[in-house]
Amino acid sequence: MSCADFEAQLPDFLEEHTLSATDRTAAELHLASCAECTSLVAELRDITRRARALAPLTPSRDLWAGIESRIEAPVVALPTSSGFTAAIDPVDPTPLSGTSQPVAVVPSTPHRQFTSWQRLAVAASLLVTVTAAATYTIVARNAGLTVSAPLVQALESPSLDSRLLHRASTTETFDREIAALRKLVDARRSELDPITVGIVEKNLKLIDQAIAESKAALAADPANAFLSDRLTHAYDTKLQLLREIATRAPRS
Amino acid sequence: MPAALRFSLVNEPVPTSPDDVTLAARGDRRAFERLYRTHVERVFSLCARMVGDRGRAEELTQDVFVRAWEKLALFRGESAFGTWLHRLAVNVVLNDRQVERRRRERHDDGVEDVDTLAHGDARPHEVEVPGLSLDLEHAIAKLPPGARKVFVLHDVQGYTHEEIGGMLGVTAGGCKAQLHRARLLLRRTLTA
Repeated sequence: MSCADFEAQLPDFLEEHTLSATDRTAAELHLASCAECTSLVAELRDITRRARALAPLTPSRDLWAGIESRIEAPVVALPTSSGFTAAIDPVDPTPLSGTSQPVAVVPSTPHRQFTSWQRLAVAASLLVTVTAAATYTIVARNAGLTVSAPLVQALESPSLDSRLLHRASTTETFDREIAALRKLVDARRSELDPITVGIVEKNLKLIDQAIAESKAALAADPANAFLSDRLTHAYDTKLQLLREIATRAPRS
Repeated sequence: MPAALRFSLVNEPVPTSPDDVTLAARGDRRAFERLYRTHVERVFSLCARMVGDRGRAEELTQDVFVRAWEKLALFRGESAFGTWLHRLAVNVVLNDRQVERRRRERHDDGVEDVDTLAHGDARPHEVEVPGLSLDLEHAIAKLPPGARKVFVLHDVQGYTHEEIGGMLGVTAGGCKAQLHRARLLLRRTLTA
């Protein structure tokens, strides 16, 4: 066997169980008499061995914050100009929900498709759409109002989605719901545990600071998807916190 | 467990709490964060070595976990969570490369040969890792994209030629040839 013949069989020779016994014997006989091919085989096997032993790499930063901000985006029915559109996963082109109900998701990599403020607009509209009924229920219950089923249904209806989705500015949408909850919390302040209220107020200040900083940073870099995610996350956190304190039982 | 990941996950299994998988599938973000902490290095390693760009790999790693969160409810537990996650990561990376390839094809007036093995192309932000494997990491990062993908999937991750062929849409024989050429290129780089 020549070196050229050996090299032609080398890919199979390096694999187990892919050469016939006859061919493998012939190759090994060649190796026994050829230092150059022996060296080649040794070096290629060394590369394979080292590849298998490579240590894991570590990201230069903690990636969790970016992931968390993206997975907090709600998954809800999203109307489009042509009606409801099924969300297709390019990795696995089947509807993500596994149901027949077409849904749309906040894109996993929205920065490729939306500007920063468009992302915020969609997130804000979806968030408030999803939570509007809950907030209304909370506010109405505490105001002694009766929330009718049709009203809640109307609040959750796609037509409202559509109206909200295309309405007003994004931050105003967030701010409107926050203001309603804030008013309720202020009204209930005397019946809530003062220590708990103090902690919540302290946290709200931190969140407000984060919102302000994100807004300022976005003003300088409007296309920054990460900042947009952080702003959405901060708004979401503030809403959740206000909702929790608004529905908290009075101190005994 | 399939033959895939026999090096990375079978020989060195990553302990994953089945409770965390269940909790995360029900929407528990803290449980999902624990899964992230457990698997992030291996997912990042896969992404970094396949794309040869650390910055892009960090973005892809985030994409992988966001995708995993979205699809976790569909995870049936028929394979180990780590195996499922790594396969998902491979798909995310391959899909990303396909998108980039299509973009380059449009911009390059149809002239493209991303799998050419004639030369290694140095790219910005190449994988850099301190330690004894630095030279091999650099050499892998300099491989042409097609050769790099096959080498990482086979020699680093442990997928079989048949599995890789299925992922890339090539025959097992074509995969084997690509792998051999990748190894020869690495040898040339490492002995230069």
